[in-house]
Amino acid sequence: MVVVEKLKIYLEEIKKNDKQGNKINSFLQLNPDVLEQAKAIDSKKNKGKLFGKVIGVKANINVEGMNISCASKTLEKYKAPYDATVIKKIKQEEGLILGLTNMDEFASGGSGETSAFGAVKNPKVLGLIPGGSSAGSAASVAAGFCDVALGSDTGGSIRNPASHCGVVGLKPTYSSVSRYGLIDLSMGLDQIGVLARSVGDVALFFSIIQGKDEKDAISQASEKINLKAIEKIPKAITVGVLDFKIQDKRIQKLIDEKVKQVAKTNSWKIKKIKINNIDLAVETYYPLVYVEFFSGTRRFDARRYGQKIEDVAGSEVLRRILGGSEISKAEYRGRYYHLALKAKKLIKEEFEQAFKKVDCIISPTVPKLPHKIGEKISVEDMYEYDALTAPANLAGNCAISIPCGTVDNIPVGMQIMCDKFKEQKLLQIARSFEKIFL
Amino acid sequence: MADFLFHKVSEAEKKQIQKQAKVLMDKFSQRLSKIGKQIDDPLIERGEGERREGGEKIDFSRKIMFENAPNKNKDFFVVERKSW
Repeated sequence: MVVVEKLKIYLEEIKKNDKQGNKINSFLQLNPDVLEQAKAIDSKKNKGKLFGKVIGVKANINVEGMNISCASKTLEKYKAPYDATVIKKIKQEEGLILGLTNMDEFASGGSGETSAFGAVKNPKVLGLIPGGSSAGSAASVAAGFCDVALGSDTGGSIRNPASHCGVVGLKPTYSSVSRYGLIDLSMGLDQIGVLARSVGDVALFFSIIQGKDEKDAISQASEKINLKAIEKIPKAITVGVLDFKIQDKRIQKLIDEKVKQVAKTNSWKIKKIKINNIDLAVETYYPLVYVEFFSGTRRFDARRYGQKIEDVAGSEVLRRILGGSEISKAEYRGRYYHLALKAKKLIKEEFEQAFKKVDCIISPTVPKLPHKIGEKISVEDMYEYDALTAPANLAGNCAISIPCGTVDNIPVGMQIMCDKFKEQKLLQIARSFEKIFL
Repeated sequence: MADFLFHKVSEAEKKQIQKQAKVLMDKFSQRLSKIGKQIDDPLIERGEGERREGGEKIDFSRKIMFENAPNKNKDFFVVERKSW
């Protein structure tokens, strides 16, 4: 009873430290049928590719019958009437859904503090934020509560918490994974992705969830991941190191040292790479999110389900709704959203040119260390956490954060970006770094 | 400075948030307008007005949908007119 035994260990650990002990608060709801489902998986003759894997799912991805609250009182009692496509695919391969993970409310945040059901703690440094918005997904993997977790990434919401919590987090190419069943933050940018303790597990899960889906009109087929080939160190790689000044120079120093070490070992070239206008990524990202989120939340009107979002949501969700409502008025035509779309196109083109010169672009995942939970910071300072992750969302590229050391005993992530639909190359490069870091 | 921990937002705070959001968007918009290069219109003209979404029939639980509804009568939702 492989799955049952593993599940019991995880449940014991969750009981000890999720709502008691360290009080990580990474799970919002455990699957009430998880033990039965584990027994059913164990008794199957033909084991799927995810046999033995125990999975957390961010609470904005539909798992039939479970409370897809998006960590908001708006949907506190809302039960998913169907499985998201990614969940169907995972279940088909015998993956076991353990529960729904905590998050920033409606994925509107980068700290893990804004959930209506309590902030998530960083298991590696308990008093600090775990990052967000896939806070519970990152924390549950880091705390050893599950093997893998699904998250969603719109401006960094998988990679940011992966960095702060010291785990691996993949944001796939926009449209490479079906979003059917994901409650959207910003349709033009959202992507479902994976968090795990190893590049291998991230690659395995991506290989299962990737693919075109008729129910997600923008989804596309992409090169099927060859898991064995990920173990091969690629030759003749030119690593682009992003030319971008960040607040905390110690983080950049750590990244630079690791890049030099790995490049030397593998005889790779290093090139400093400049992306024009990347310093405007935050200014481009937020108007798009504000407007698209405002549009996407009009359905939360308490008629068919839930409560009216404006009556019960927290401050950051309201900021985005009220801000989005304001700047999408007809009288402001061309000033905000349309201008941001233009800037997005420009940044996308810059990346396309850059990937003609380098195989990957490396930077810190986050420009500064995580702050203390509950610390009051300005909205602009909060949004600054996205400065290095939002560009990949704007360009639609794939990007991964891998743990690369610590500063002041706080985990630091290295972000590797590749061109669109180059996940095979991305995962191979990430694995090459991981082999040397371990 | 903002308090990001979840808390009940008063009407006064909502008004404050609304003002601050506009100020921030204005700041961002000003920074974006400085992009020197002329950018082509990013909008994509669709060939058709509506996109076709295909695939198999959508399989969802009617039972759960009705459990989610705040007000219902047999097999339809009850929603007040003019409540929005």
